[in-house]
Amino acid sequence: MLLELKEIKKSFGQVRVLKGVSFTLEAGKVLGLVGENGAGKSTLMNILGGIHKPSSGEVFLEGKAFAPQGPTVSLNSGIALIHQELNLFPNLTVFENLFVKNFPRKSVAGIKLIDRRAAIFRAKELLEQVGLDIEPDRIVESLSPAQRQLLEIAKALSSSPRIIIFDEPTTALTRHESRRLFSLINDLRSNGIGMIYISHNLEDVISLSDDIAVLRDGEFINGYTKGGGYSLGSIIRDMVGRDMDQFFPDRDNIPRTDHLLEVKNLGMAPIVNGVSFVAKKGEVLGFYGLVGAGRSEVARCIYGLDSFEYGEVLWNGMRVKTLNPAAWISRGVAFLTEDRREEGLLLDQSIEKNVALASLGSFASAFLRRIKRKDINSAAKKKAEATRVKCDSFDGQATSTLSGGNQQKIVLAKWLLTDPKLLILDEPTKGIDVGAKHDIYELVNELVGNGSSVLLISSELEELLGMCDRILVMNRGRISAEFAKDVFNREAILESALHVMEEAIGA
Amino acid sequence: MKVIQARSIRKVLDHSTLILFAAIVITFGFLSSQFFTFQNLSNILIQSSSLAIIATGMTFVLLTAGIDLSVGSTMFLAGVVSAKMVAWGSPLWLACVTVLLVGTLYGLVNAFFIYRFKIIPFIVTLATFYVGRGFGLFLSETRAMNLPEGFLKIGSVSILGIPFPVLVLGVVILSAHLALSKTQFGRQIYAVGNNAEKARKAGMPVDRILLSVYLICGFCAALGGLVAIAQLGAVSPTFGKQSEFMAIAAAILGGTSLFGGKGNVFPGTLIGAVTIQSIQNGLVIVNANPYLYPLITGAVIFLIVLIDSLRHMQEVKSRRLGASF
Amino acid sequence: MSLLAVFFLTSCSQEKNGPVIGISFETLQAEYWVASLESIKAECERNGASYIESVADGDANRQFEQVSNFISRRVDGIIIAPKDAHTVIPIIKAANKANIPIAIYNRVPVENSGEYITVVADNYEIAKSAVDHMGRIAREKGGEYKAMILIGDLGDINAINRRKGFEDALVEYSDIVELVAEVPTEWNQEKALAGVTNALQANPDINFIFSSSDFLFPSIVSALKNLDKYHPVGHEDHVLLGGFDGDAMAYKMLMEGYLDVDGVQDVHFECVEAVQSIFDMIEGKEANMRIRDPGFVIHQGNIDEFAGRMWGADFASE
Repeated sequence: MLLELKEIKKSFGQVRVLKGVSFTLEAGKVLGLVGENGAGKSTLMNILGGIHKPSSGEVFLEGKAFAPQGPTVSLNSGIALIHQELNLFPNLTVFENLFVKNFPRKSVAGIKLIDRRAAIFRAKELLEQVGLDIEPDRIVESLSPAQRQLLEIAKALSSSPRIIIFDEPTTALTRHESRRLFSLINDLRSNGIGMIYISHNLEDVISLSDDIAVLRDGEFINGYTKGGGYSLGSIIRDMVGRDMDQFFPDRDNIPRTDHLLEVKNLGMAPIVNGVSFVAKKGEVLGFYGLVGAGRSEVARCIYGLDSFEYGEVLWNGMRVKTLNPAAWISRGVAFLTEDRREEGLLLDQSIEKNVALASLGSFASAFLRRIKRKDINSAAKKKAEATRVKCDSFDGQATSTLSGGNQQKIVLAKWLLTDPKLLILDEPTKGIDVGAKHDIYELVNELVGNGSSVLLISSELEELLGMCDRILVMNRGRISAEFAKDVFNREAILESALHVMEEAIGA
Repeated sequence: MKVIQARSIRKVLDHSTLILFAAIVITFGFLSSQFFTFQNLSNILIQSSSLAIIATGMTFVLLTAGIDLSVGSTMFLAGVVSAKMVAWGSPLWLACVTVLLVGTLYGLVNAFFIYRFKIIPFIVTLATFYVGRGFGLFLSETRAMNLPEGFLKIGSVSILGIPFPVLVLGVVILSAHLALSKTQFGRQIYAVGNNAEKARKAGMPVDRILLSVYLICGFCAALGGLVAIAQLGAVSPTFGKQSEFMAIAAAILGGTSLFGGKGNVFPGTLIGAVTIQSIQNGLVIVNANPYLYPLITGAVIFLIVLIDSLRHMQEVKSRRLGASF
Repeated sequence: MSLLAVFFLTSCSQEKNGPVIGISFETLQAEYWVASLESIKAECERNGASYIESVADGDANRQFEQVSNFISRRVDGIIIAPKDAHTVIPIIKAANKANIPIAIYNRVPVENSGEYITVVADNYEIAKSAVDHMGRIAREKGGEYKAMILIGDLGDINAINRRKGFEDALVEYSDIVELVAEVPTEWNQEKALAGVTNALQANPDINFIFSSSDFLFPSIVSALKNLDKYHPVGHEDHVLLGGFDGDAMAYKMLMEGYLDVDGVQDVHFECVEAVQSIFDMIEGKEANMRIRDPGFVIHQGNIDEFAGRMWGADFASE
């Protein structure tokens, strides 16, 4: 057995990401690893790569216990990771990126200098292996995303690994380039290298893998072996699970027909390619799609956090000219960004201060615009209590001491205090526990019940199914499908998010 | 169309160092026939040598997206220590070696606080900037110290027709250029400067690299200080003041980015330093109004920083597009 | 860090009977300031007073706080060398309010309100008479002169006044002296060296140099030596040299016969007068509120008479 994982558990603070995962990998085999976003695939991979340490459990490499102390140890033990987020240095050349850890060197007058000729020669070999036809001394900055992806793979090969882990290697590749990668994977397989292949593209996984492991919520759900009789449908069922049905609180109001926000042909190539949609008053509109499909970017463009190249935005039927967060806040639109630690919270400040932050203007006195401290503090406290934040003190405790779920509630409370007409939520429940999720859903329902609207961006399909009046599915920067509440269909939604574009449009 | 335009802007930005240098040199050449004489060009090179040596050390630090504000104080401390030692009867060579050690040690102090206690370089070196000058003032009792003739001789001697300061400069630039472009250590500096987190993930000795660049910067500051002292023959209490800004300006003018990962010593920083000295030289040669000096220096520094940030904006844009797929 | 330094510097007060004087200096980064501070302290002691001293390291805000501390400690008098002519105004107001006599050393406040003693050397006059003496030497020797001046920091009013004194003095000698180079130095030796070298490159015939401060002489000497132009007075290739301040370097150059003229600020006079006026005010006597240091010009002809009064002489002897 090349690699064996036994009961791997991993927690970050209070969040349990892996709850005891076991599987094995044999030499000359490809193991497909699938699961929804947040199922724990990346964490598992980072444990093998020596970037994280497991909280408990054991890893065996060729029968020997293996507990890497860092990325170098893993690499030297023959495990190469190809991250989805490329680990390249765009300011260096192709061959420098390949060997930056360990250049071929020659001694000149006792000083070890880089042997440029040898490096370029070896680089050419590696580039040829992955079918990348570029000069080794080109600056990586000038490469296309696909070329960078292939270079990353060539870099992994340069350490002559025994195990290669691919994380979504085809997202940047065309179909043609993907097929070349697959033939490379087949070559490596026949050379006895073991591979773990992580992808949302289930057809690829099925056609490549000898074995498939399905993860959900940090647990190993099911394993399949080639020829063991399985289908795309059964894998998706395993990925999604079915035990969450009653989790979402009911909401009985019906969206009105008048348009609150209308977006026409919005674009920022190549991430967002002509997106149009309408959000009605009193509606929860969901956005589903894979990471990188352009969901967050659409919201960021509308809110003025990123610039876009073409398209227009209408608010209450009027064309909006100034797109910036301050202008949106004054119109009554709030945006809860994905990265709450960086953008949403003052971590060393109290709960009260954080909740009050976005509403300071409306609590200023008419004279001299002095902030009415008492009023705002009591209002903030009330709102924070409504979110059921678990804490010792509203005014004395720094928010950094709270759990992720409670921090998220505070960000939400902050925006709720502004009485928004439209609330944009980007992954509002990412990485928080079940109870906190439920509280957040109830707050959303209350807001919508009062006639406001919500744009809910999420990678968790269950959440969207449970909360939304409509779901828009995004795929490669376009809206590939739209589903109304009465025709929600898990499999169809997943499929329109996973499939490559041509097929999705046809569907 | 848009792409082509962006590309040509990019090209101008990439070569802004040379364009600016050429523009300045040609302008002064037009204004005064004295400017293009061999003796004057040689003067410019001699006057640039101290600044260029310090800026070379600074380039190492800037490449890692760090900064060292303490180099001026290191220079001053180097000057005071050497003057004191010579006054106590130590031979010149011993004073020089000690001073270089002091500079390197000072770099070690910076590096220690930066990487052991994870304090940002700006704050650490701001503190050592004050400490260094304060300590130097204490040692010298705020007196100007004159050095023996021997020191001045070193500064004005020529070997094979090359003035000594220029010779030192040549050696420094050559070895720095080799280290940065031809060694693994050098290339890893660029990697760390581009993204320290990625470099750590890739298993590079990030801490050791950061430590080394501050050592190099301290060493260069002391060496640059010695070269300046050898020309001045004296150390005043204001010696080395604002040298940190001139060094940073020279490096940035030479195309090194404040955001790290971009730039080079040769030709970049060397041209940057020479450009700055050419401006000072040219203004004196044409006997410009004294009030013009700070205006022109300020305008050039503004231009440099503007160019750097334009370059960075372009880069971020392309990185966003690249990473998003 | 700097807080610590302030503690150190303020902690050396001595508990004695008699008045306590608070002394706040903007900086000690020049010999001149050190000499002044030493002289003021000596003068206080001579009058049986104790003192508290502090240095603001070029920070006007910090200086204000230091003086506030003096006031809250109820000192009897304050002597301050302020950061600049503007930021000293609130300090004067605070001292007036607390009814503590205050003397402003070396700078004149921009605004003439409140009650305070000023002690300033007349930079303009001293520079003018020094350069005037240079002109006289030139006329005696005969021939044509090309002149260069090293200008100090353009933000420093003293540097400006010295430059003005230089220019006004030259008017009378415009028939024989032509100003060909004005080199700004920002009070920086390296810039001065480069500037002098460059100016000599552009005008190799420069033979009349005035430095706005003596501490730039090492740069001038170094540049001249490189061109083999540094010779004692009387040598046929001697470059006429004049300076301002009266520091140790200038003293040495005078004694060794290289420097022709130096305009000297009479530090001893200034400090004695300042302390005297403060004591007069403390005792309720009529005090001289506007102390003007006329300075003096020292040259090869009067060395014996004046050399002892140069403040730089004390430093040079060590």
